Amino acid sequence: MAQKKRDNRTAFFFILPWIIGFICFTVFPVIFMVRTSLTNAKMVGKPKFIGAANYRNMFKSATFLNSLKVTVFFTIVMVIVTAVWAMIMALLLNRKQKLNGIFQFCYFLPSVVPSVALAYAFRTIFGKDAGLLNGLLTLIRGGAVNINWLYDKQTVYLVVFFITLFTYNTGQMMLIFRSGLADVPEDLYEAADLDGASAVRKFFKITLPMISPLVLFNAVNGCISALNGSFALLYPLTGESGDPNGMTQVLSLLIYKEAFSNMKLGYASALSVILFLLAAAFGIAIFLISGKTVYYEN
Amino acid sequence: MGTRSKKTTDEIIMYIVKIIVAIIMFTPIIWILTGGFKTLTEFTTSSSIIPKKATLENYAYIFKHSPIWKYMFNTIFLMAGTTLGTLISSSLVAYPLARMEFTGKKIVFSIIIATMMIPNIALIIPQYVMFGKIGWLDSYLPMIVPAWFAYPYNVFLFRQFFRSLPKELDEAAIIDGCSRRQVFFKIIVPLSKPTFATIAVLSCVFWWNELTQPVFYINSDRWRTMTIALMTSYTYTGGNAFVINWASIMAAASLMIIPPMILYLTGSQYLVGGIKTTGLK
Repeated sequence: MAQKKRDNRTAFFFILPWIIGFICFTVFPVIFMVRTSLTNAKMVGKPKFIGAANYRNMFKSATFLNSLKVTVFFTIVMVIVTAVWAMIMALLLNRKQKLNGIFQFCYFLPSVVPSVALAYAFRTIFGKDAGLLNGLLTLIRGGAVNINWLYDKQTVYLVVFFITLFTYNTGQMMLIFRSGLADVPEDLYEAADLDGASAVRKFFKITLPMISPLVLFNAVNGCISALNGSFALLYPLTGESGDPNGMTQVLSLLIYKEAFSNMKLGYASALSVILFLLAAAFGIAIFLISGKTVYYEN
Repeated sequence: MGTRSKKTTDEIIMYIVKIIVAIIMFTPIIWILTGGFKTLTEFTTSSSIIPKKATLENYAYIFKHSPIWKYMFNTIFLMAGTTLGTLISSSLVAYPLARMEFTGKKIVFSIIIATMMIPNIALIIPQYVMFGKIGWLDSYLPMIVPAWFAYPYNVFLFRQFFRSLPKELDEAAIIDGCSRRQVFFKIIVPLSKPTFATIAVLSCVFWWNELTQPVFYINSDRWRTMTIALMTSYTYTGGNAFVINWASIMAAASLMIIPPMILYLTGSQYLVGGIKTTGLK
């Protein structure tokens, strides 16, 4: 009994930094966010309580509704596109051949390149006048190609999702899938080979079920990264207004714009509340779809 | 004979696919590295990857006309302050979660998992206002101080690693009269050096690349990090035209790519191994 009590006290002291951090940097900001969202707080001056007016205005604003739509679309597509690409790279690397070390270096290195550097590289690669892609297409086609990939409504999503393949998120997923693939027992494949199963069938019937917990982890992690990391990629890529025409203006960009360009902190806080709820909704949705929760042993 | 040649063709096709993917993934990096050696005129008029006439003028420019050494020092300072803080605080918090029994352990752990799911960007506005009230804006305090109070993600990683050490270690030491504090500092920490290295590497990569928080919290040039400098230091409003010095940006970006590249080549067991472990539950 006395031992247990002493252990409780010791554990409390070890955990103390987290308790303080959790209260100061999570609980308090959440409360503060909700409170500020009910005011007309600006960068300067005294805020006034205005009830739910920010939320009413928000749902009447075409910019917000567009941004909400873009965020949901961007998050879902980014998670799928990056997970599939990460899986392809992991499967390629899982095939034991010479030079795999060099291939992994090439596949992973873009992930540790700062997103600003990537964004600027791709702004010029997909640029209109001296862009690498237009240059290549000009060579192939024989005539000048002048597509402004990032500012053309028809190509912007294609290009932006292509760029997400180079983010940290993709590299992380690839390495996680790789370690999962390495753990799938060989004899399962040997048995399938005897039955004459095709490579595609083996992938869907053996590989995927065997690494399903990692798929779930990557989906959850990918959603958070898409909601969180999209700012660092899209802000230098398409700007706070999400060019062209708000097509890439995810909520985090809108929050930044409302807070720093329009100086409306109250409204930006209301938007943050929505983003917060959206993240929770995504988390719950993934666990419901997967039909099982990740089990944490004690 | 037939199956053997089929196998060889298979191998060759595999290599070709791997090489194509490698070329795609490496293109932006090559583009940045070679772009730094092009003149601005060439960069904005030619789409060739290889510079026609390699020049060092961009490097001369970024070292002469922008305090790039200062930006780099700033980034390293921020990286060191946050990484040191999170190593110390997160490992302390993870220890009892991994190796002790105490009341409320389950609740604490569940909250830590739940907070891992909150995207930081959702809380950045209230944090911005809060830090503004206590006069912390335009400094590194809003980034360094929270790091000293344990990041949930790193707590989780430390816990995973600590759990893999044999439980008898603590028990034997306690029977010998060691306190929990002594067990942690004298036994667990020395045995977990690779773990500390792993989390240090992941944290350094994160802060070297971090843009979002500095963009929100830093205003003045003297605290600029490399990532903000890339966005703002090489663009000008000349007359009424908005000019972006792409070639200099590529030179500065090249400087930013080199440290992670070296890190991968020298410490890949920590970087690659560490990321792999993040998926193990």
